[in-house]
Amino acid sequence: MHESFLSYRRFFFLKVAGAVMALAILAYALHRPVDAPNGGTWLGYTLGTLGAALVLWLAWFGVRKRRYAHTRERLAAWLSAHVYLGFALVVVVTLHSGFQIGWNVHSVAYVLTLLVVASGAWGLYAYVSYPGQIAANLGGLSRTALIAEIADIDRNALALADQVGKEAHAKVLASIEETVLGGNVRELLFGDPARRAASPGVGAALEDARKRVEARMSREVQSIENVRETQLTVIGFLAGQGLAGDSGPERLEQIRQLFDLILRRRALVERVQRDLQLRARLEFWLYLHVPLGVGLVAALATHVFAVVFYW
Amino acid sequence: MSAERVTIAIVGAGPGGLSAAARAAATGTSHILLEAAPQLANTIYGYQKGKHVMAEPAVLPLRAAVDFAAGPRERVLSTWDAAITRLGARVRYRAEVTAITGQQGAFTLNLAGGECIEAEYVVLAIGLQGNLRRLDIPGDQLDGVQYALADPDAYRDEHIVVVGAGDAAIENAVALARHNQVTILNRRDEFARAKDGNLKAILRAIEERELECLYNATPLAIEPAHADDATARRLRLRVESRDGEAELLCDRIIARLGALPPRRFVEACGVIFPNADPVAVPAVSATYESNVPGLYIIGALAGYPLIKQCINQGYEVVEFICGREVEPADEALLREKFSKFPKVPAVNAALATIQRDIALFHALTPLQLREFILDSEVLRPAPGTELVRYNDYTDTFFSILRGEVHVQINPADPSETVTLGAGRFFGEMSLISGRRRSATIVAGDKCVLIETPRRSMNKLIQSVDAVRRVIDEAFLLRSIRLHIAPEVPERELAEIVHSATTQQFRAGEALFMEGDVGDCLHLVRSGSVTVAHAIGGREAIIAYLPAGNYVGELALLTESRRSATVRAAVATETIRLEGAAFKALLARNPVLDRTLRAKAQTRLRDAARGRAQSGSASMIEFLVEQGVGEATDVLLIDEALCVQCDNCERACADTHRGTSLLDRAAGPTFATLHVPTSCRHCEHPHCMKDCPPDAIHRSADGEVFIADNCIGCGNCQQNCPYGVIQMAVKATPPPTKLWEWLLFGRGPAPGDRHHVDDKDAPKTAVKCDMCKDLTGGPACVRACPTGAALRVSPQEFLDLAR
Repeated sequence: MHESFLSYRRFFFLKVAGAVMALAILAYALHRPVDAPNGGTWLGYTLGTLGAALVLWLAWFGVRKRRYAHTRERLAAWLSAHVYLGFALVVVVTLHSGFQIGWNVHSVAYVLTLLVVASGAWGLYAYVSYPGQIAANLGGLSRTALIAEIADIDRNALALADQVGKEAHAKVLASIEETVLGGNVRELLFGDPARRAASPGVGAALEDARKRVEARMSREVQSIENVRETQLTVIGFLAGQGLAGDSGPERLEQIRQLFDLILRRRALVERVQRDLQLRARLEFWLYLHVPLGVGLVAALATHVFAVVFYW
Repeated sequence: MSAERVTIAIVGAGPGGLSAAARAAATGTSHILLEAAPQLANTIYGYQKGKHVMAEPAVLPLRAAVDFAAGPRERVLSTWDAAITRLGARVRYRAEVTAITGQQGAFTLNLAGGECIEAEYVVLAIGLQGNLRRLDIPGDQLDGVQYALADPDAYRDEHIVVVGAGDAAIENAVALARHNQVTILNRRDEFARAKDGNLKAILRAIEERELECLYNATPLAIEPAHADDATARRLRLRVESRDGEAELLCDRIIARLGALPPRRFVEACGVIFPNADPVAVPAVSATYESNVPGLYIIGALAGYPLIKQCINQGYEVVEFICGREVEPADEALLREKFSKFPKVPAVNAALATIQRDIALFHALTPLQLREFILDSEVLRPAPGTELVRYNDYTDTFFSILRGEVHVQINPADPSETVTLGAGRFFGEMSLISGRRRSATIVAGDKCVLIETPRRSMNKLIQSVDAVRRVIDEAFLLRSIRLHIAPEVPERELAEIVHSATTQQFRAGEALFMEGDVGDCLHLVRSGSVTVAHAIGGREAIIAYLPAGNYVGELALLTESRRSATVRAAVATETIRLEGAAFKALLARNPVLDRTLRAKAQTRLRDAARGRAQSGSASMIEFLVEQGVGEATDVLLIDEALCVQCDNCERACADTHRGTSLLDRAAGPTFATLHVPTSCRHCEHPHCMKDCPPDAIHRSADGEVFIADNCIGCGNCQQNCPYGVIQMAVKATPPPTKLWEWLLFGRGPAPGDRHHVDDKDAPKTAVKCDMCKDLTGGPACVRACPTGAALRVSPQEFLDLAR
């Protein structure tokens, strides 16, 4: 029922772009210029004009997507055309250059074109692959809902930790205070959400406790009945109370609940971190594509100006 | 003690009552205005500080001894106070009338203090809003028992018991719990009536122990607590719960139980109500006189809830009582309507003709008819004019006063028509089912019609039993012909129509279960149903059928047991046709028998296919759970395509005065199908239910929209179960200048939210109108760059999903 911009009208714009490229290549192959093929022949000028028109039209997308009232075509149709004709631009511009690339102002425009299209291709990859991952990661919830749930858990965990003991309360509080959602660009794009979800405070204490329990298990306890009991032991250590100590069954139950909360919290924080990462990856290319695009329009103006006045 | 004697006793100092007292004072008529509260216009007095009071309907001229114009609450109240003082109207505050006895010329009004007042005439202007439903238990008058709460922050460190399970009770309880110890008493075992947001808030507060909740608890009695009690609480509330009786010590009891016509009191005065419906109001004559001679009823209790109407009626009723002829304030408006008549008649003559010639209106009181015509339009269409178009979403009701209309019963062939003559009516099918028009109808020769909006018609159906009966019968006959037996002549359907009954089902209730013996057929009259098979121990939904479809014919045709379970997806009404009558009809009509069998074959094939694909089954289930069972057009987002750019929201804000009417991220998701918070344009829009100025309409293409005469009361926002209506300041933001923003970063970006800081600026309700005034369809869908957003009718979507 939903029609992706890629398959819009049964790949209509893919066909258009294919036709443009095929025509350009055919003309280039049949064309026998006096010199080597270059931008100055009639075909060169034709392709150049076509390329310049395409660049301007592609850049117009930034304006078109912000026009909301009284637009007849869907923006998805424009994006479809933008993507396919953007790729066609590479062929048109390359043939326009006649493969004459040098260290000059004209080649700046050419290189910028390639960079803009490359960043666009990255964007296409992002648009095709990340939305599904984002949806799967969120599992039908919104990020706000996840953060609200974390806040809920924080409140409950603090209340519970308060009953368990001072040390536990301090640890949980520290862990809450240490949690930073998001981060700098590098962390956002390339960080490991799972690692970043584990806060150093509780995380380290958990790890520490686990190691000690594992050591003790291998030494003393041969038959731990089930995993749950292991968890109790871990939290027992975490809260500074040994299992054999004064902690009654009620205290153990609180500790177990606290442990569950901390694990659940960690999973949630990881999901939020992952969501932020996927969102960042989904959007990051735009920070290249748009400035490069603006640069391309400027370089194109320079190129045309140079051609018209100095050729 | 001799009682005070007056000519007119006016009960209730709301807008109607105070206007009547002002007019009586101005004309020197002996009168008294009795008010239970300590001030005039107690309900408006109870409004939040600075609230903007609206003066709808704008077309109605004001005619009264007191001024009234839209403005802040304070100005409205001080205008009235000044007028009452200036005219020297006699008002007695804190005078609650407990009984009215006697007859014209000699009424006796008993006051709460034991005092009596004798009056020749009585004007009841007590409205509904002042008549909050009380606890009705011993001690409910004690100090500290209250039925309203103006400012929750006014109380601190008290133990407060809130009684009620509705939105007002929840909002009060949650707000009070900030500084007080609060217990909320719920008579049932859940908060079923509350809005979603309030439900979440109260459940959270209960879970967090911010307040305590007693379920299944009924208050029995309130007593003052003993002064020597160690807790020093003022009140002792006895409560019956499942575990037996309990006692609560508290300082304050706030009961929020809603408002109703004060039926018991009014009936005790001898006034008759038209039916047992708790919201019914008594019928009054053209001079506002009730069935008790000399006892007049004006304002909301007579069915006129708007302030301006009340004020006008206060003036008029005094004129009528004093025997002065007064042309009703709406006379000029009616005259204007009747100017469409071939020969312009006097208003009263025209009204009499309408009542005589259209059987449907025989049972109306003169005032009801007046009101009805005032809401309606008189049309004189040229022959051949299209009145309603097949498949349009219009929902007005037409009565034929003169001439005739032609109904095109076959959409494929316009020449196949049935003619309806003077005195008949049409348009009831869409009115009742909330679905598209079932036929195109064109005007015939010399045709004069009355076109009535949906709300006025519904009001009439609810208040006049005779109208309801006639319309129900017509609907039954016409829907059986339209959906089941178009070829069968009307007289042959008499038996089956006679056997038919309407049945109501709650959402989720089964019409019948798989394996039941099939003894009837259901034609869905309003709402929608789901068809499910038991697969692996649970019900898997295989189809969704909206109003206009029938279910249950398979068992009758094949003499077998029910092959599927059919449940109501939303609150649904069906027409139940008895099996015996249906079989008799088939036996007489072999053609009909063949057609139905052919349809049944298709259904069986579809069902088999449905069994094979259980994936789409859970999709249907999900969508039905989201309430799309009552939607006509729903925004669906494919999350595998959505890049979360929020261009849809920006497009919406840009085309709707800076407010986005959809919330993309909110709302549930199934697999990758996301149902964002956005209007679904329900078949029977919940928002239309209680709109004082009747500002919410449905256009021919189905969009439900709010017109400019919205008074900002917020009823629609509360009534919408999907939370898609917002209150926004009525202001036009400066147009965004795209180029200035793009090149120089000046001004707001297109689609930026527009914020108005002025807190006192009047707000009105805003909601999705599907961009009905823009070319190219909904802006949200047009602005989606990836094709992830789609607006579609759920039926269409489900058909394709299968």
